[in-house]
Amino acid sequence: MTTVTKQGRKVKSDMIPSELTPGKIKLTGEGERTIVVFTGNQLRHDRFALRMQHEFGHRVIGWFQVQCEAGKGESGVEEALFADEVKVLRKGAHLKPVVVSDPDAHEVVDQVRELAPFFMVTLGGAIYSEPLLQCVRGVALNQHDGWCPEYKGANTVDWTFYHRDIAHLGNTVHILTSGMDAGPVVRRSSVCLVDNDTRESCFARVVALGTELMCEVVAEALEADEITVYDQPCGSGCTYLNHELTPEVIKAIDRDFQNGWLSFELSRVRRF
Amino acid sequence: MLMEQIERKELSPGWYILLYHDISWEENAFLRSIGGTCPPDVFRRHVKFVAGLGELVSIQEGQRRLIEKPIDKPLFSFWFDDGLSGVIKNALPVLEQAGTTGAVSICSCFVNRSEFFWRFKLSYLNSIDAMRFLRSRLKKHGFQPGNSVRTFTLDHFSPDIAGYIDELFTRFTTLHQRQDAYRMFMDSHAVKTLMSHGWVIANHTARHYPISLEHSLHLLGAEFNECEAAIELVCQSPSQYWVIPFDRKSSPKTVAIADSVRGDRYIVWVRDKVNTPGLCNAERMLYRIVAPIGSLQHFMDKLVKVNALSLP
Repeated sequence: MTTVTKQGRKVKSDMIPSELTPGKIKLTGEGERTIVVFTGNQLRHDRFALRMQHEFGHRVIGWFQVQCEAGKGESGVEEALFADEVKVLRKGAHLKPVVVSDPDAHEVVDQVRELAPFFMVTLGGAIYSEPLLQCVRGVALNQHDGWCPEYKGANTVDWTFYHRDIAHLGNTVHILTSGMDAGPVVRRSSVCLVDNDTRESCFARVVALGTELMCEVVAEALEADEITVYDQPCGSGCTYLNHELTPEVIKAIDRDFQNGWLSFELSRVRRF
Repeated sequence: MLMEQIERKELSPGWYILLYHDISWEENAFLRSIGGTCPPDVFRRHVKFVAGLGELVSIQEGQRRLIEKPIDKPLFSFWFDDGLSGVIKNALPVLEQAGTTGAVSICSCFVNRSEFFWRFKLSYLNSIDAMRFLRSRLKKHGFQPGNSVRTFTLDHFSPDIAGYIDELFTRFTTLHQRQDAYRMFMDSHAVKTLMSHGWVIANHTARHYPISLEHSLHLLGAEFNECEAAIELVCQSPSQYWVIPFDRKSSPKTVAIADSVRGDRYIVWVRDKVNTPGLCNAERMLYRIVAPIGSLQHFMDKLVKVNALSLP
């Protein structure tokens, strides 16, 4: 639901994107509803793949880990948030990752085609090609660490901070298309933060939230004949590119954090 | 926040019951204005931390030690109010790994999906800037500019006020949203699952109205009894604990009325106190400590403060 504030700013903060038009996608593929997971190679990505295995057991039939540079997310922060949980999850996992450098390479596409998964679920790693997506019998889903359609593309948690837009700090699970985070939205929600969070820990929490949303979406879709989706209107919101996150932008965000902006903001939204 | 070095201070013997609400990575529009959600990593650190300060015990074990023998060290237990689904998803595995269980207080209308939590409706209205519509309706009940809606709706709670909140919530949400919002609460299947894992299921009234406050005391018995009937249906046994909602301004009258309807059950309060045999057994009451969600230092400071205030 959308309302307009006295200042004329649109406010949207639902768990489901009810400001967008709902539609249905039929899930018609025959056979068992199996899952293939594509991730990057950081701890948050491992947690994603391991949570999938924990939730869906042997329905998860493949885990492809795309080698990419460390980039976002600070390993110390991820260790602090996820290491204990991941240690436990690893003990119960039945799959180890197949490490690939290019998910769109012929041999990877062939392997996925052979597995013929019903779901392909992704967290980071790459933009996936059409031939790969065509190997999926049911639906391919991505978790994006940003609030769609407002914040698409790269570094969207940082851009949300840059715009001091805490209401839109969240994660979106959407249908994977060849456009950047542009596929129809399936579920979206906002993240739980604490006063002493840092820019990096906020990012890790947003990813953890998305992992849980993905588990919910897949759990619902496992037995369903159709799922409700919300098309992202063409041209809505912003798609941020990697190179746009300049040192000046990061400096501005860090300055806000040093000045206690997050703590102030959290107390502000709780004052009514 | 991540490399905190906390000085572990010694706490006096007693039973420390830590109170949480939801344990989740998510804090959506229904929750954010209310606050109180604890991220799973923070909860995990709390559990690890208190395990180093004393012994983790289930509610049943804490209760047994409270009755049967003097408590010679700090005991820690975990209690979760409102029956939110993050408890089964995130708190259950953490406590299982730590070798203990917890207690969850449920409201039957949330479990049965028959009435949504009125405070969550308020939080939602706040998040979409719809509070101005509510404020205008509250004027006839004495609401003044500058008053806090959060406090006013508790202090002046009535069927009329619950009605305004519901009317606006219905106006600003779709049916799909309202149905979807119940996913935040455990259903009866989840309650049974927790019970089968050895958790205590406690009665937190049917609707989480402020029945401990003077203006709503007349609802206390009926609200607890309605929830009790639902618990008996789901759990096949009565609850042992009645948990008072909004324990902020409870008066001796609240205690007297609760005492008259509870039978042999324990009444559970917040009050930030440590449970000791002398304090709890005679009156069959338990006290909980609101766990601060933030830095471990803050958490330790709270325990030290409660310890100092509670014990001789």
